[in-house]
Amino acid sequence: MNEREIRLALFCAIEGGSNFWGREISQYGVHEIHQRLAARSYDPIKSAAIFEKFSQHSATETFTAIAAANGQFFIPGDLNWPTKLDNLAVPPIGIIVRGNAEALNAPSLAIVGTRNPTPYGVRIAGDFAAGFVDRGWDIVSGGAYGIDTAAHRGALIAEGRTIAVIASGIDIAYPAGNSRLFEQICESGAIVSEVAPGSPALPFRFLTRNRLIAALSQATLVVEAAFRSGSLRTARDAAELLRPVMAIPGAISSPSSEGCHRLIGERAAEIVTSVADCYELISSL
Amino acid sequence: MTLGKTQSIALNGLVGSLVEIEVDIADGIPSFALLGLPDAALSESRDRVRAALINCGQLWPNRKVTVSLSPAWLPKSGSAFDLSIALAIEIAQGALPQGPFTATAILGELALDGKIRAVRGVLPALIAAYKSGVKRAIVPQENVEEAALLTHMEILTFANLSQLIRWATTGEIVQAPALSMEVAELSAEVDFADVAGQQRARFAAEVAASGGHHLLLIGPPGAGKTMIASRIPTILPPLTLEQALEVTAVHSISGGLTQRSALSRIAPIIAPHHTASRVALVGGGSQVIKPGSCSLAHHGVLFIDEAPECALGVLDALRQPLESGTITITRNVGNITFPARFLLVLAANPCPCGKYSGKGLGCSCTSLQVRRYLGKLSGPLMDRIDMRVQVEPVGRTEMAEIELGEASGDIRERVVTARATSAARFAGESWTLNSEIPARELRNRYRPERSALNFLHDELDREQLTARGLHKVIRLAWTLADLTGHTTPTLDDVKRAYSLREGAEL
Repeated sequence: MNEREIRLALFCAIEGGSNFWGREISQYGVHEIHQRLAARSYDPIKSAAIFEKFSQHSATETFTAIAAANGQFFIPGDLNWPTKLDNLAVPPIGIIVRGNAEALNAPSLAIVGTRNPTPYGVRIAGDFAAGFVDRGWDIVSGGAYGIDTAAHRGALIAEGRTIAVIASGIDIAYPAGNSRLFEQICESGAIVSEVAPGSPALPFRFLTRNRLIAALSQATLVVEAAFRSGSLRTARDAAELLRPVMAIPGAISSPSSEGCHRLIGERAAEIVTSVADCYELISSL
Repeated sequence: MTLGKTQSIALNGLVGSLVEIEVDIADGIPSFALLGLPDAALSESRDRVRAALINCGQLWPNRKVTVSLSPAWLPKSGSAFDLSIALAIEIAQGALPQGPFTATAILGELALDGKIRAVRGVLPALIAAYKSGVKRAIVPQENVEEAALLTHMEILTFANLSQLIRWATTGEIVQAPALSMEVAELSAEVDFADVAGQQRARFAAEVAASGGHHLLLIGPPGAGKTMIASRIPTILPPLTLEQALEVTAVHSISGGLTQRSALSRIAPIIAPHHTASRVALVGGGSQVIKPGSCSLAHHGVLFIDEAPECALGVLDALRQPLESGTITITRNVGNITFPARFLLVLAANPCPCGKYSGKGLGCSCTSLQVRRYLGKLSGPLMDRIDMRVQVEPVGRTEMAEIELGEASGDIRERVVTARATSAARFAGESWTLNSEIPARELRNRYRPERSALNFLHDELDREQLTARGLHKVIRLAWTLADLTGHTTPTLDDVKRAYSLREGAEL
């Protein structure tokens, strides 16, 4: 078995973002973990689901499924492997990429925010995406409705590249209403998934996905986020990676800017009020 | 004489046709036959007519009575034929002369004691009668006000059948009806002065009234959305006589003139509840097609509170009248077109629980619920809404303000001036309001300034605006220009129009 097949087996069995498995892999290496899993030398109750997935895994089937979705499986050391991901505490075992994998190594800005934006947020997200594309950057976001969609659109309108990191398998367009947007993204940019083909977009996968958005980009910009929002998690992930986090202020009467104001208030994010501001802030780093 | 003839009018929507009522009394087994496609209410008229005649001291012909309503193919409905049938029977049995009833349209329902009761649709019926050459009409007393709007017709009215019979035999009129042609004044009950603060929403209401632009108010409960919407009629200019007649005609057939005086110059406001059905909103009915809320709001305001709570597709039924200003209803009894040129005002909470504003901390809705809530207002409908305005809760300084806000009268003056400006500009055109400028004219004769157009084209390029949206913004900018006194919309006007349409500050 070569490393690619071993990593694929682990990729399908172990969900990304788990601290325990991250430690195990970094300590013993993938070959060792693969053998231990085959020998079932882990707690049988805690790891029951992983054992089951591991034993049912078929490399040919998974490779066929990835190829059917026009995807490619990348592992560390591959030519287009985004080395930015190695800074993560728990780097992914592998990623599935659909579209132009070269885009993953270009300088990029993550634009994230609420799925319920105001027209103000949509405009800002689009403007910043277009502004950074004009300066030769790519735009990373999560492919969700709202700010994410506005950011991807803004980049595409400015004829730039954009990367969507999705929480479901590469063969599932989630949200389905954005499936045409995903097609457009793949023409120049890429779609990235950290879960096995066929996995649905479950709530916990969004959180593990958010760390990839933060890791794939040089800086993170939060456009609009409510008081409780997944985008704040992305901002925290970016801060843990020591990457700049920025937030756009809104009206204090607007609930969808509450999260941004919190980030700014806690000094967790820099306040930015124009594309030039934002560009200056991160290009000086 | 065994034959009696009278005339009445059958209404089909707003279109009336003259109906000839012929009664023949022949020897034979006593019977009563009513011919000419009567509906249930009309078929029952036999018993009402019989009781009324007997209770007024008249004889009921115990012979073979045939009543024919012609044209026989035209379906007829309602109780308005009672009086004309009763009189035709009286003429047929020789109790009354034929003379007084030639070229006279007769409308009225009979009570069992002979009292003449009000009927629906007197105004449109009499308009039809007048057009077919009838110069005199007998109407119930309650309907005399709307009948009097036809100043070229001789209108007679009687409290009951006995008085009518006495007039026909002796020419004596018991009581001349007092005709009041006074124009009802705008009622002083509601006024914009009552609304505290809300500068933005007030301004949006003023713009809506000036240019006929549809409006969506979004805000938490208690912020004053309903208050603002219900005061929009007070800043609309008074209806012209022609408009007032149109409004009265529609209200007359729906039987709604009890709440509205016949020659009211006040623009109507109709506020159907959000549980209203599609038929209630646009009109319909299987036997008798009645106008819906959107027609009753003709030349006025159609206000729908809690719009996202409306059943699926109900609001979308408004799309056709919003475009064309009329609504055509098709049932098996035929097609009917009602006028429906109204100002649509929708109000909505920001989310199902209504608390998604400010810090949004009290809101218990999930992100999905919040997104879906306003999404219930369909895209095509929202595209026809010119302004989206956030109504914020009233602040404490606004609440503590002792001085009242600007009164409706002052705002109305500005609205009237703005409307006069646009009407003068469109003197040779087929439209009068800014919201009605056709799209091709917006690109030719009614273009905003160059810089303003460039701004809009940039927005179009960035896909922030659709082509329809661009046209809406220019129409709105014309109204803002009229209100500020600019002869052509400037960049500033267009930007303000754009922010009103988007519902956000630029």
